[in-house]
Amino acid sequence: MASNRNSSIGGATTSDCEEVKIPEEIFFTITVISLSENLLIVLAVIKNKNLHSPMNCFICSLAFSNLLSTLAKTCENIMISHLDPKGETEKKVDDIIDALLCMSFLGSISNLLAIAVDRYITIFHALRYHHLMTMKRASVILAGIWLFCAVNGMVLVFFSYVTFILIFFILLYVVSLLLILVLYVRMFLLAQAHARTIASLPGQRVYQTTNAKGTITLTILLGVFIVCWSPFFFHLIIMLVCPFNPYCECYRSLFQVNLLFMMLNAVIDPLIYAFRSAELRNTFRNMFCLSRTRLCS
Amino acid sequence: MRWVSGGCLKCLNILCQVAKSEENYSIVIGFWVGLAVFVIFMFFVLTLLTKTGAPHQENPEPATKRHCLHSFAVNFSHHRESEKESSQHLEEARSLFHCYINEVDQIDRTKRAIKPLNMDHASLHIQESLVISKLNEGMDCLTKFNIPNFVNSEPSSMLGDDDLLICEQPIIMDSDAKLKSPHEILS
Repeated sequence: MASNRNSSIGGATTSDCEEVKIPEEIFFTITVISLSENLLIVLAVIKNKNLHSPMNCFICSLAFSNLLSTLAKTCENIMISHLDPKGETEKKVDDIIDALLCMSFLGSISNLLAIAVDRYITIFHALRYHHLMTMKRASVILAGIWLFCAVNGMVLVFFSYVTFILIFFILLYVVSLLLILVLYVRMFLLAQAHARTIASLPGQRVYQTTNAKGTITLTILLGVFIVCWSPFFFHLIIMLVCPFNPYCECYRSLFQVNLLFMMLNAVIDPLIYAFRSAELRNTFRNMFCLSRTRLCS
Repeated sequence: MRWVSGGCLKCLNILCQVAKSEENYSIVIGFWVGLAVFVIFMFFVLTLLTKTGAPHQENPEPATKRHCLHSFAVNFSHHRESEKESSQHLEEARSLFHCYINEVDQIDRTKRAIKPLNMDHASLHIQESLVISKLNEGMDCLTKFNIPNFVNSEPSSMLGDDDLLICEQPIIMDSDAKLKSPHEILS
């Protein structure tokens, strides 16, 4: 993917910054962890009938997109290290893998946005939620998301030299980021308002611990999203704004690091989204207990 | 473990390489420092919001809260046996009351006197309509429980004030009775 990106701009200046390569061992470790986590989540949501709700469908879809990105990155790493990168068929296969990777990254962002919107509707339109978000609608939304991501993934990889496409993707990311920020902060403010009204009752204990937990949770949610996705999109911005500047080229040389951060997002997302649900954790315990009955109480 | 240490050595080499040509990497350093500053700034803004207060604060009738808490205390002991089965039922029942409370909060912003007696009648009415809408999913357990019913179905998060807080959250009933209150989502 790096060769596609850097050769399509054709930088003429030389600089001291050659491309920084991440050691394979690190990618391998992250891949293994991510694969196991996301596969577990997908299996657990499919197997347990209690988890067939719109919210858990979105979490399962997020886990699936993370799984897909991990698999695509693994295939690409294997291809780069063991096959000849100059051949014609290898380039085509590499393009297809890049398209899959882009599709899964866009899928991750869209699913994160869908989860935020679903939680927002849960809290602010409580009475109408089960009319607004039926399973049928959730599956239609998911199908739409995946179709959108598949088309855009292919467009991004095969037409990355067109300026308009890059601007479109940067705008997409900025809009998603702003939406997620606004939705979560509004939910957070409502939770704080409720906590305050309860604390104002006579004889209540101090509630600061719960407030601190809410603040930390929200910071982690938003912080992980921003820290994991911003480097890649800043890379796209730099490609547009200063393709020939040596300083910008030094930033572009860290492309593998940006990809690493997106893979880290695939590792961290299950921890902050899926594993928060007690039902899902119970399902995991049951899944493991079936194989190791002696260890379970 | 040799390949892990090999990976670590390669990482150190990369970091040394970056450190040697620092002025060329100024954009990279600037980007990451800016990102860290932004995240820390966001954390402090959120902490400040919790301390100073949110724009749309509500002060509903304290009697309703006391009623809520009393019912919680009364019903708590009854519904801890079968966690998995009762959690769904209780979440359903809890959600009815909270759905109603949220709706009432939004509609009657200026009215402060919501009497507990009226609330019971209205919530029973809502319960009935929601039971009818969920009939084909086999959720006939709703009629077993008195309204309001405030039990925390998450046994792991057991602070007393957490229970009391969850009492007042607007909670959703979706097809599998999986509830997300603001505090459940954010903590």
